[in-house]
Amino acid sequence: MSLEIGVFDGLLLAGVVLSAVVAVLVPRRTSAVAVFLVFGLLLALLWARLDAPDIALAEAVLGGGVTGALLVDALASKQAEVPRRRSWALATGIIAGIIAFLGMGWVVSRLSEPSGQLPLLVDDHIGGSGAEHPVTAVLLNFRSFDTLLEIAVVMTAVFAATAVSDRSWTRTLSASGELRIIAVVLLPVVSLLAVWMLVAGTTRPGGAFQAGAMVGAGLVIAHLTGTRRTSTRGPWGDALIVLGLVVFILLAFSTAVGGAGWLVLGESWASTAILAVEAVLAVSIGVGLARIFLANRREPGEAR
Amino acid sequence: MNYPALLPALVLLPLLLAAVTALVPRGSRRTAGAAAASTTGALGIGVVALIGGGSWELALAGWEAPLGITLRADGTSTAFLALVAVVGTAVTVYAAAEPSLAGGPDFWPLWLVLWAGLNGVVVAGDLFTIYVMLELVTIAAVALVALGGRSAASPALRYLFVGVVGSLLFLLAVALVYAETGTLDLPQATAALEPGPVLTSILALTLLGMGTKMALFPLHAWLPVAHPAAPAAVSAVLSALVIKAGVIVLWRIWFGIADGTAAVQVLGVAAGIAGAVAVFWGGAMALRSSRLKPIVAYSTVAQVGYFAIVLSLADGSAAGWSGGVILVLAHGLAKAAMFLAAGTLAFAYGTDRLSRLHGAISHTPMTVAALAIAGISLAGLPPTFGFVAKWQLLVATIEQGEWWWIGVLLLGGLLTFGYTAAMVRATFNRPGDDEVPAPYPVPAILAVVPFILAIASVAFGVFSAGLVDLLAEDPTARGRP
Repeated sequence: MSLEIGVFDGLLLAGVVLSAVVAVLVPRRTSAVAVFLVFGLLLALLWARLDAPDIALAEAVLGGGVTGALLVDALASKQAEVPRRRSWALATGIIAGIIAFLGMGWVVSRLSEPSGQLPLLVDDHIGGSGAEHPVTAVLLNFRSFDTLLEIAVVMTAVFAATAVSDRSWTRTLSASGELRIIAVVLLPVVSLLAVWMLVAGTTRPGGAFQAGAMVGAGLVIAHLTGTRRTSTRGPWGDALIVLGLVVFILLAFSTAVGGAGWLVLGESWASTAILAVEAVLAVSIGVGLARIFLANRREPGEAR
Repeated sequence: MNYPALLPALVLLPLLLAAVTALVPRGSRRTAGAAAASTTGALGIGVVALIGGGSWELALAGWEAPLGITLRADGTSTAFLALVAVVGTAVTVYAAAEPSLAGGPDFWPLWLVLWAGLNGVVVAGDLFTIYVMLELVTIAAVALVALGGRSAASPALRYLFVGVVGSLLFLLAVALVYAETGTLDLPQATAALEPGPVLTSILALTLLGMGTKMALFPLHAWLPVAHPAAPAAVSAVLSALVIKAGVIVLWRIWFGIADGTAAVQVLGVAAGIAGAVAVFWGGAMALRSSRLKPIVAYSTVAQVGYFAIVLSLADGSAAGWSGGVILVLAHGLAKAAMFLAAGTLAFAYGTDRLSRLHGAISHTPMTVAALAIAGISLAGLPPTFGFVAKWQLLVATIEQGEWWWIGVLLLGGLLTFGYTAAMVRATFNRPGDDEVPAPYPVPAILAVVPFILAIASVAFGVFSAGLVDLLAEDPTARGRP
């Protein structure tokens, strides 16, 4: 793996590091969030330049989109300004950061040449995996157990956000006409993108996590514009949130009891199983992300 | 029957039950959750009995490492699985008896996820799987702390930040392992890693990351805030089990890949010094505290110091290794007993201030007895489980010729004895107590559960010879070539 570093890459790299540092150091919250959003965008571009479009997509929709939405929402809740940072803490942080940066750089420069054996193994076995895209093959077949656990982490995070909320879930929003237009225009586009990312995931970059983020974005837009029956709060939301994990685990149990072993996918039905699992995962991730966003949200004018 | 095929169930069954329990209406979730958690406990005990003294291995999804993921259970895994099953079942009974001591209906799904993660950390044979399991444990543990109410919000948030930083440091170590060796399987990576700066950085990052998660001095400041803020049942799980997940991961990686180079030895000595300071600092702060739960929390800070010292003592010494693992078990049982007993007293008196607990010894003698017995096991007096652990560590200090650790071990024991005595003395009757309004009556089960755990921390000490031998045979307890 050799990398040609051109002027554009150099600028991009400098931009990522600079925006990261500025996002941490800038004292005003609004500026910090704005710089953070720029940072997310540059990082996504950097991943794309590194030939990792899957990570670029995930960074764009999760790191930029979802996190950005949460941060902007947090900005809107009026709270006391952060206390002034002490200068010695700042100095310690900067010095430690520089030392860590140089140290990691030195260690990385001492790494052995990659043997490239694992990518070759993936290429050898991708034929029977049920996915044509190597990332999907790794996530949903070779290392499907880890993906199952990650879905469990997402579910737990949703449980956590729900547990600390006040459970005032009965409100419905009334929307004005302009907001309705936004919903009518945006929702079909977002739904289409979600399905495309899901189906595309078997052959090219995309997959359950990216599609799930789209579903989540759609649900948040729908809820904020007052679209009916789109609240992720309540028992139906709960059911959809756990659905992905339950289906995945039931698949694991059925392969263990009636099949060739835990999570072993037969060649003939692997691609169907992968697409089906990804579809339910996308729904669960999407509803879960929307729940995290909405569980603790106060409507404008509502007392805390 | 192919028994190793049971290994994934240790993780997937509690996860499935967590998802199902979350759908049960809040009113009846306690019954459902208790049933689900008891099932998980029974599965754990069953698997431990089947593994016995053997070791299991299972490749998942039909792919061998490095392409796929392998689960492994050896003697150390078995011992920890047994601890999780015993303490987990006890905490389940305790939490089901009094919802306010568990944090309400939200407790149950989170507790089941946490249990899945704890089982998973010790049977994972793949570094990235270990990372995801630790994430599961951390997220669930943070949420459980937050169930402690409004005052727990800030400690929980702090715990989250610290936990995530620890995870990221560990993830960086895992990334270095993969970049250097091209595999994530722990035994394969161990075989492929050569001594050098990369190996040293992997160890340093793991030590920092896990040191953060196990609250090793000076990275401990979050623990004395987070553990007391949580509901009593949660505090017990955090101190007895969650801390240990970090300890086990640190040990596995350290003893898997550490070599004899000077840089690694410096790291080991640094960890040992941090551990020794932790023993004194934690003990001293526990002696200074005037409330029950912070005393028990600082006591954990002190005990974590021993786990860091084990990095020096168990290096090529089977006695040091088995002593370390038994210390994990003994501390788990004793600390769970202590936190549950402290929770019961706080429940009865509405506060855990030592100055308000006088008369508790006649009001609920069994709870106070649990506190005292657990303290004696922690201090390492014979014939308790804690004594067996400390004895093995003493043998290791002599084998290694590192006699100075003896001073740390003994002084730490004295401090433990000191704060246990302070806690028990506060419960004595004072003249004129007859006129004091009676505290809230304690349901018998809230006193019995900590008492049984405390008795277990003594009884296992009497029958531990087989366990010592079993652990000494573990592949991790190998000497340096």
